[in-house]
Amino acid sequence: MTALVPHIRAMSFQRLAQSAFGRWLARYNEDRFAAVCLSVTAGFLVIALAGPFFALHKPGDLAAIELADSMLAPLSKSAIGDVRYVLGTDVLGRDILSMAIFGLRTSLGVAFAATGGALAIGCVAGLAAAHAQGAAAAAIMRTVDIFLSAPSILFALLFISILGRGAENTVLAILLVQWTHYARAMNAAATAELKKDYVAAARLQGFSATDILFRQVLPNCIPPISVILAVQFGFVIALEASLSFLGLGLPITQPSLGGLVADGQEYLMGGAYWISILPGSILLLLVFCMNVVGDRLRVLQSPLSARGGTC
Amino acid sequence: MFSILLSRIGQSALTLIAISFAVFAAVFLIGEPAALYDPLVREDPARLAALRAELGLDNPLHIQYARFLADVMSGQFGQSWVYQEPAMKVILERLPATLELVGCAIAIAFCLGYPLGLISGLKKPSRLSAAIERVAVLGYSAPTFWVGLVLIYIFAVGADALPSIGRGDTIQILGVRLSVFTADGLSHLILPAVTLSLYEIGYFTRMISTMTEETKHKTFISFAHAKGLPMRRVISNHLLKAVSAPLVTIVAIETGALIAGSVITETVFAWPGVGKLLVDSVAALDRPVIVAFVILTAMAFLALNLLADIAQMLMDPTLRPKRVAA
Amino acid sequence: MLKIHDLNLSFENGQSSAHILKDFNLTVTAGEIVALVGESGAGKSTVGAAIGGRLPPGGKIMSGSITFNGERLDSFSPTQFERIRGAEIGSIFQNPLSALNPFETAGRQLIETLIIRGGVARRSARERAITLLRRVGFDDPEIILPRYPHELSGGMLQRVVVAIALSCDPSLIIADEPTTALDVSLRNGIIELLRDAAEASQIGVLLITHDVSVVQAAAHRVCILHKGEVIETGATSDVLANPRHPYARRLISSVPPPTGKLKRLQNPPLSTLQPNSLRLDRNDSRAATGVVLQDVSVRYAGKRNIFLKQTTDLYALKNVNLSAAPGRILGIVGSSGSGKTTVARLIAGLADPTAGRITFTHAVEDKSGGSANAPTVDEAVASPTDAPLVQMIFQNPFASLNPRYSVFRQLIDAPKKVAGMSRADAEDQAVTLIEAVGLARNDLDKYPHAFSGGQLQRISIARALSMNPSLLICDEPTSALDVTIQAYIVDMLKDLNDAFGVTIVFITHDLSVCRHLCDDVVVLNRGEVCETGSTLDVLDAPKHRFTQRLVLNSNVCQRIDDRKAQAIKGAGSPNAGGTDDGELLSRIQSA
Repeated sequence: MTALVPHIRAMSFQRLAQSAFGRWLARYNEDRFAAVCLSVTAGFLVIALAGPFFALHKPGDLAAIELADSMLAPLSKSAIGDVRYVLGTDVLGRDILSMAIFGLRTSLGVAFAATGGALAIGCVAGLAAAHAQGAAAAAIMRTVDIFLSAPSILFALLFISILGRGAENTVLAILLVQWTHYARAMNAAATAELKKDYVAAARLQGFSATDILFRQVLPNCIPPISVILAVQFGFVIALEASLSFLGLGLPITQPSLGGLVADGQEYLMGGAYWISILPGSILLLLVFCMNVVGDRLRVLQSPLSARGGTC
Repeated sequence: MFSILLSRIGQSALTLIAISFAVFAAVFLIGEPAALYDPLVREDPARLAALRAELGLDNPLHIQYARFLADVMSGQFGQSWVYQEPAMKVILERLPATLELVGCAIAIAFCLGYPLGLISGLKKPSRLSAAIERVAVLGYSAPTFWVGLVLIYIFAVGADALPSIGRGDTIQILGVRLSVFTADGLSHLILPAVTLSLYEIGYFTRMISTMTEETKHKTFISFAHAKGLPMRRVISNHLLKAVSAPLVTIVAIETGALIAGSVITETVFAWPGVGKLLVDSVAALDRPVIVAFVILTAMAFLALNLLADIAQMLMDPTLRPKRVAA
Repeated sequence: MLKIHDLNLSFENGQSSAHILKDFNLTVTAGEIVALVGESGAGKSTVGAAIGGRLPPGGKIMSGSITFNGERLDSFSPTQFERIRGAEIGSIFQNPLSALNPFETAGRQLIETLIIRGGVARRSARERAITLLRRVGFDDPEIILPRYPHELSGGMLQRVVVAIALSCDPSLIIADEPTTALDVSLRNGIIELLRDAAEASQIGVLLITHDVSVVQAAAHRVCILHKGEVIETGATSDVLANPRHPYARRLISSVPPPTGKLKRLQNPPLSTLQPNSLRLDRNDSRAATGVVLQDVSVRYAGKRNIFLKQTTDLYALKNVNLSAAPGRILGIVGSSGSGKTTVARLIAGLADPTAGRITFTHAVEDKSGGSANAPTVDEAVASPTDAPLVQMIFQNPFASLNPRYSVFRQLIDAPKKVAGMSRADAEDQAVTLIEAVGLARNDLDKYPHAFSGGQLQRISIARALSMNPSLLICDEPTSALDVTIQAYIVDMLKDLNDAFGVTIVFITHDLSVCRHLCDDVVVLNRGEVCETGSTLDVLDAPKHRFTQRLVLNSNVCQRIDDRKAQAIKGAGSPNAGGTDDGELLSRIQSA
């Protein structure tokens, strides 16, 4: 039985590799830098999910904190004499790495929630507007244009001033700002696809309007949306971090990377850079990787790469 | 052409009215409108009732909106609770500092981004252009607040060469106080301006690189080569013209975007501009200032978009009305 | 003057390399027009690029030589090319609107060449430019100089491009598909310019084209290229009259002759459509379906002038009356903008007329044996229980199929889901259809991006047939395709009509295709019907002024000789009234 396991595993890898997704992934990985960035992003997700089991200090767990270990630089010796704080400690002796892991969890959680909601609302709105083509559709798209004409953070601040602060309101504010990106992308893609001849052919064959929208048009809109998704996901992470840095995002009780950077600012002048700079570097890395992934996705779907070379 | 301009101005005006209505709804319908005034008043029911009557809050909605609109048009947004001064005045006092910061940042970003983007686009595909692009992506992936803190650490804490907080000495030019012309002012200005510009340097480089690469493959460039023009002429006369037309629009819009970025930068460096004012006002829920800020910003962006459209029409002959129906 | 000897050229792309040109030989002498003919992918443009030093990265000359006026171009450096480009070798590209810089006026682009390449002094450059523009046929060049490319028509722009090519007195001009993007009526003007340049200035012209009729009109010698090899070369009249190589014969026979009416263009037939190919049973009482348009108009709201409170209305179609008789092939011809595509969309039900009626008709089977031709039963379109009776083939093969689904899926989806066919039946039908259009069974699993334009168009036909339509609309299905594929598809449509009695409405701007395929024809101009009737009647003896002009323009050979005869008689300049250019010019002058 155990001899079969590697065989089964090999078979399923083979199946995966030969499937459409496997082939797409192979094409994606041709750019090694982008492949590394994708792995790093995946790595961050794994850390966010599994990290709490390995973290030295959990938020709110005051017992594990050693006051004697406060303000230690990264990789320096603790009071006991061992090296346990990879990223150093803050003024209370809390391990920066642990706080960063939990901050990462929160940031990713907010980003997923806000992006998921924005994606759902935006895609439905964009698709409906492309299909309906009436005055209501035009009104929706005009609203989208207005939202997109000014920077997101301004609107986010505005929404927070109306809704109030807190974790849910932060997610809501970001969601209200972000849905417009997906609405516009989906509308543009769907409008372009609806004009194409294969849609007309499908109508002539007798397919219903919903059939055409969801089975013919929607699958072709996925590539451009995926590019926007990758880039905007990174943007949302940065936006939440900025809001938390300003003290207007997540409350102090909930650790977030932006909040960590803000907390550490006062110690910066004294030379304790690691409290602010290191969590910020994590943000930088995450957003950078998402941007590279988004770029690679965009390159992959351009028609030149699909056919490869001159005609 | 005139009619197109008129219709665009008309559209902008309509949009502004729509925004003003949205703000009116948000502020006056959701919140307690009398809270627009002194919080001390709110606690006394008698004074509150008198104030409500005085403000005309017992009037029907459309009259309230009309009064709101009239107030907005004459620049009256009420008194800031925090500063006890007219909200408009509070904003206008801080505007020059922000404009100075944004102006410097755009200048830096353009002067660095344009040539870098051009080189990268012309040399594609090559290692050099890939490297430039990656660095550019890094530039706009870095959170602005983090960049500010890193710069402070290196130059203020580490090297102790530049100040990290506040604005320097100013001199008065044409009624506006500017600090860029004083040595002290300049030393205070450098770090915030560089911080603010980093995102835009990356963005411009990428954008111009992409545009240059797309343009260089266009048929009219091959034809310019084929008719015997030397490479330098092809680039300077044909390629650059094609790239510059949409560029003006982008610069105009990004200038607006920088006003957003200034929110973070001003907070990090305690720069006394409208960005920091906004953050403080949201934190303190100083509604008059927030409302004034929203309306003014909306007007500014609409004006910028309009200018960008006009500039594009001037620079791109294909957008102008044809002189002959062809 | 230009001698290419045993040239071998390949493109290298990372690991793979493609051998584009094999032992290629070509000569062009002064004053001679040599045509390089081949279908897409044959390598013709690569020859032009190699001569001009414009090979894309990855292009490498493996062996052989290109000698031009004694110099070896195959070993030239980019700076050396810069010296001869423009000055000794002029270029004409296919699409003049994209060849010129949209941000600069036409005049400045011409003057720029004169000054920088032609060594003309700045002061006299404008005069030289005006002389050049006159030479290429502009009556009033002063009007052209300050105009931007998007303000001029395609024909005028191509003349400007020719002027630029001629500006520095080159000894060779490479013209890469100079007439392909132009309407037929404008094509002749450009051809004539090339002939003038060759004769008067003793310039050698390398004319790269896929259009055999252009070769006939313009070239002294022709060289046929197939998959990178020269398969036939010689004097034009010889090669076109007696082609020897089988592919050359196929190519030349695929061009529909301008007179007469053939039963089929290619023999033997390549398509294998059989009556039992299609599984769907059509209701027998609807044996053949026709369509009638009565007083149909399609109106758009034009630009609104707020100040004058006027709305200029635009008509895509105005009071159009036409009909396609059941079981026959109707051709709709006209130049671009005449409303042909609008008619197609109306019949298909994709658009609605703003006025008028569209009805479908059936031929009633005469119980005594023959079938009555007069339509007697009018029936509403597509009652819910019937399969759709109208299907359509579109102009752009690359947009006709959904890029995300396999060919197989797209052939069986509609029969299964809409017509309720069983999966087994649908699959069988798909296999039969794909083979009937000349593709292989294992092409079914492939995706659209793996196919060429001609193959995609055949798949579209297969898809249309899968629903067993009684009326098939073809909207310029072959305009973007090579001439051999075009002949194949035209023959296939004829077979369809013969075997199944499918009524076909065929929209085209190519009169010779129409002549051989269509039984009846309707001529449209600017949304109005000019003439209708049986094809041979209309095309051999046109009555309406516009039809006459259309027929005259499409008949290239005759036209060129006529013009020459006219010029000798002193009857006026090439663009005297009547052609579209002439009207445009007179409008500029009066504006």
